[in-house]
Amino acid sequence: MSESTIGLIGIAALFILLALRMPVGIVMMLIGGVGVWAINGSKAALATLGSEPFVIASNFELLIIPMFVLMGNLASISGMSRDLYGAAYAWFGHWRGGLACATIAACAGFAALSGSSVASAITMGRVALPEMRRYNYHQRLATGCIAAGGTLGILIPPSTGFVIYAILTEESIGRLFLAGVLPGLLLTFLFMLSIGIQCRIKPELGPPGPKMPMRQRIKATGQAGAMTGIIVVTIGGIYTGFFTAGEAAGVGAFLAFLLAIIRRSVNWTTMSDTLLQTVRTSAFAFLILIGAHVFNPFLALTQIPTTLSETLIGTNFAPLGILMILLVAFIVLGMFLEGFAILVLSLPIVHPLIIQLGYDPIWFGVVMVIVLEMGLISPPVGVNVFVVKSIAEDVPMSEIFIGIMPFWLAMVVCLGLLIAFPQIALFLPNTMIG
Amino acid sequence: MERYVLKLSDAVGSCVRFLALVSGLLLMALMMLTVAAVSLRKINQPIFGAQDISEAGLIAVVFFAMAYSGWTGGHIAVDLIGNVVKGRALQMLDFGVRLVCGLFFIIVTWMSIEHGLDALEYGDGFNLLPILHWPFYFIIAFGSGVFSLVLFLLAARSACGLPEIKVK
Repeated sequence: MSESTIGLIGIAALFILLALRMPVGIVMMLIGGVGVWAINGSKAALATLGSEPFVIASNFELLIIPMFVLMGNLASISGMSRDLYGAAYAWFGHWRGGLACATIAACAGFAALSGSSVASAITMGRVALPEMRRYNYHQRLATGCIAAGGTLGILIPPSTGFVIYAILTEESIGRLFLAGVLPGLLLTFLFMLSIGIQCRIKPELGPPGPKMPMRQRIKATGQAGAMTGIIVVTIGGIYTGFFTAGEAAGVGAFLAFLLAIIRRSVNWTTMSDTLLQTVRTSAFAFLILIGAHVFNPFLALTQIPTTLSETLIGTNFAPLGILMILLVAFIVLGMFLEGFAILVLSLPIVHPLIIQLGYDPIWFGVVMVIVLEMGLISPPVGVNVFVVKSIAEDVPMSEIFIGIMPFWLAMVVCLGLLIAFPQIALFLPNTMIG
Repeated sequence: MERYVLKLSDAVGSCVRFLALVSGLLLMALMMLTVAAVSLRKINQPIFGAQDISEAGLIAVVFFAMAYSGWTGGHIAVDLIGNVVKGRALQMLDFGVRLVCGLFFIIVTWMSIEHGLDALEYGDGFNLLPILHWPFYFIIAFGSGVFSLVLFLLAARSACGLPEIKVK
């Protein structure tokens, strides 16, 4: 049997096992191990299974994952999400659709503390949804903006999506983080623009709240100052080369811990819950990475990535045409597969192709994360939609999905702008110091 | 059978939770180490081998938490079939999948022990500090072994028709 045939059988088996609900990380380890066994024999396969867990779990760069997860969880318990929403509410609340805009702005701010979209959606949703209900916001707009705003969590640094992309493609985590800043702000703006347009067409979707005096606005902004400080220290530290992304994560987590102590939000119960939640999330990310590092060598042995690259380039499609095919494929996959699964499964095949087509891999990382974000809010398995549903149990899923559509279109516009002007993503990483 | 599975679930649940808490506390220690290393480096007093300690500590953080993540359903899976297959059929499917996963992790445990024994024989160690690799291979073996035990127990719970473990 040829190596390519073994590869194709392996990929088919991988999808079957995934469909049977086997955890993504274990499927990749299993298929990778069996595949290497079939091509290079049992000794090579068993050696890979014995060595990769050590190689990945002792990778210093990966310390960034648990540290940033810890930082986000500590930010949650210290009430920073409430401060953020309060500040955004003070400035935008009196606009038509202003509470929804405040939710998006607060989600963007929280995204700068947390690398997880689900964490952003659940944290901000709990704060913002009751307020929007109080002011009679239409449930479509209220739930749609929380689900969409939450997706900013994996675009605005720190982002676990970028860390996994960086590790699998051997790109710089710091450069990827910085590449996500401007697209993240652009997407935040586009989300707010989308709310503005919706409320202009149908004013009853988001009635304006009361206007706050300037003094109160400044006070509310000041209360969110501590959080802003942590963001400036971590992201600014990476940009100026003061410390590496991994060190920034450690320092950020420490500052969030300090703030939680000052605010008296730390006791044994909250702290143990925070730690358990942090290591639970981190362990699943590491299992996926270990799986990817067992599966990818198998895929490389089968020559499938090379063959696929050569075939696609041989079709004489323009690079933009191939990119569009890939993006459409990712969007469709995003409707059925979890974002991280798409990332780890497709990168070994797609990354060499992107390099051959002459695209910047850092830029592509940003594009890919936005496409994954679209998957987070696409039916039928959009994770963020289920998160919002868990907070707003009385709102039918169909209503949430309808509410999400304008934001989904805003993401398409953002993608178009990034493809037309790659500098939006590349400006900051190209000017970073260190 | 169901009674024993429930009893064992309580014991294993407490055990993996304790291990995960140890993992969390180790992570806090690594956070402190990172802050100290950055601060001292800025005043030209770098901590010698701080990276080695972090790398070694990270192994324990990850593998002490692996079983807890599995026990509480933290390892993501693609739930497509859950919309089609329901009830007892889904539980039996989960039983089969978890059994295979558990068996596979026995192989990972065995291989980690083999690598640990090799590392012990050859004296492999980290870069700067005289910390040897072998104890950390055994930590991986321990974490993988507990994870495989958790997978078998979850399989038994599915076979008995017991509900999934919920986490806050």
